[in-house]
Amino acid sequence: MQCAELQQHIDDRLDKQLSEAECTEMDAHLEHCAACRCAVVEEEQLREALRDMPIPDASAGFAARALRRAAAANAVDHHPVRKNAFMGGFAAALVAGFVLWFVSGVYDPSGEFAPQQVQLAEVSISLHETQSVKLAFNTPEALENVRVALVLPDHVELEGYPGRRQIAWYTNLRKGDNVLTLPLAGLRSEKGVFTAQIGTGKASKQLRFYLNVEQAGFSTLEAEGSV
Amino acid sequence: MKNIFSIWQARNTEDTGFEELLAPHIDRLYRLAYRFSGNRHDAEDLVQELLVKLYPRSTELNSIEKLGPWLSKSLYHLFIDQSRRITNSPVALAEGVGLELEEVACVNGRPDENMMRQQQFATLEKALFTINLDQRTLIAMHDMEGYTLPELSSMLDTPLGTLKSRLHRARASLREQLTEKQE
Repeated sequence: MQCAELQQHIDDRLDKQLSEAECTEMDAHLEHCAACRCAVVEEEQLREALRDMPIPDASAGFAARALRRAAAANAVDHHPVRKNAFMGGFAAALVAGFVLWFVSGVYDPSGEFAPQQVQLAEVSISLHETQSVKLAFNTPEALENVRVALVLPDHVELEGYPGRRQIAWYTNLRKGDNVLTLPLAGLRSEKGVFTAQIGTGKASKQLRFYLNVEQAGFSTLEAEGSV
Repeated sequence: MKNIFSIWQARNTEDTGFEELLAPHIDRLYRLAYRFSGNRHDAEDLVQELLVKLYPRSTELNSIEKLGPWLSKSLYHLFIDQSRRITNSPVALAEGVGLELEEVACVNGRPDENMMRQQQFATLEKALFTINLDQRTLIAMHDMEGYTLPELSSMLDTPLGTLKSRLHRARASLREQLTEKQE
C-alpha cells in the first residue's frame, strides 16, 4: 500500500468500514511511515474534538415545558377565541417594535452585499455598558408586513426591554438597505449567539453572530501581569 | 353514551401516551438540534416545533418500531426545510456591512489551557458553519452524535456508498476551512 492510497482510506478505517485484511495492510504501512501515522493521528484528533464540542444544557424544565406546549398548541388550533387573544398580544408587541425601529440612526452603506453563506461573525461589547450594534438588511424591493424577531443570549439585554430574551414585531422594509440599531447592555462576562430573523410569511432570513461581553480593563491588567 | 365515554377514554390515553412516548427522546433530539443550529434557543425552538407537529400523530408514533431514529430523521428534515425557507427569502443580509459595532472593546487576555481548548472549539464551530448545510448536518450526525453509516443510510434514504462519499467530501471541506483559518 502506498501513502496516497492509505490516506484515501483513513476515513474508512476510522469509520470501521475496512475489512480485517485491509486494516492489516494499512498497519503494515503505518509501521514504517511517519507521515501517514501523523495523518491518521490528525484525523483522530479532529474526530475527538468534534465529539467533545460542548453542548450547553437545555434551559431548566425544557422537556416538560416543550411537551406541555405541544399539547397546548394543538388545543389552541381548535379554539379560535384563544387565537384572537394571541393576536391582541401581538399587536402590543408590534407597537413596541416600531418604537425600537425608529431609534435607528443614519446609515451609510459601503462594501459588498448579501453573501449566500452564513458565517458567524463576532462582536464584543463591554460589561455593564450599553453599546450599539447595527444590523443592516438589503431587499431588492420594498416589503410590507415583514416580521423581525430577535433572540438574545442570556448575558445581554436590549435597552428598554429588561429580562426579554425574545422580541418580535412587524414592520415594512424599503427597497435597498435598512438598518436596525440595537442598544445592548452586557450583563455578564460571557459569549453567546445572538439571532436576528427577518422574513415574510413564506420565507425568512437569519443572521446569527457571537456576542461577546468582556470585562472592561480586565485584559489590560492580565497583559501587564504577564510581561 | 358508552361511545362518548370510550372516545373520551381513547383521547385521554392518546394524550398521556404522547408525553410518555416522547419524553425519553427529548434530550437526544435537543443535542442533535443543537449540533444543527449551533445555539440553544434555535435548538429548543426546533425541538418544540417538531413536538407540535407530531402531537396530532400520537397513534402513528405508537406503531413506529424504532422511534429514536425516526424522530432524528424527522428533526433533520424539519431543520433542512426551515433552512431552505431562510435561504429562499427575498430579504438578503448585508453581512459585509451588516454588523457594525460603534465602540469595540479590545481584549488581549493571556490564554491558559482551558481557553486554548475553547478557542479550538470556537475555530471548529466557525469552520463547521462555513461549509454547506448538507455537509455540516452529516458531520453533526455521524462524527459528533455517533450515528453509524448504516443508521444514516436508512434515516436519510441514501445508499451507503453515496453517504460515504458525501461524508468524505464534507470532512475534506471542513479540513480545508480549518487550514484556511489557521493560516
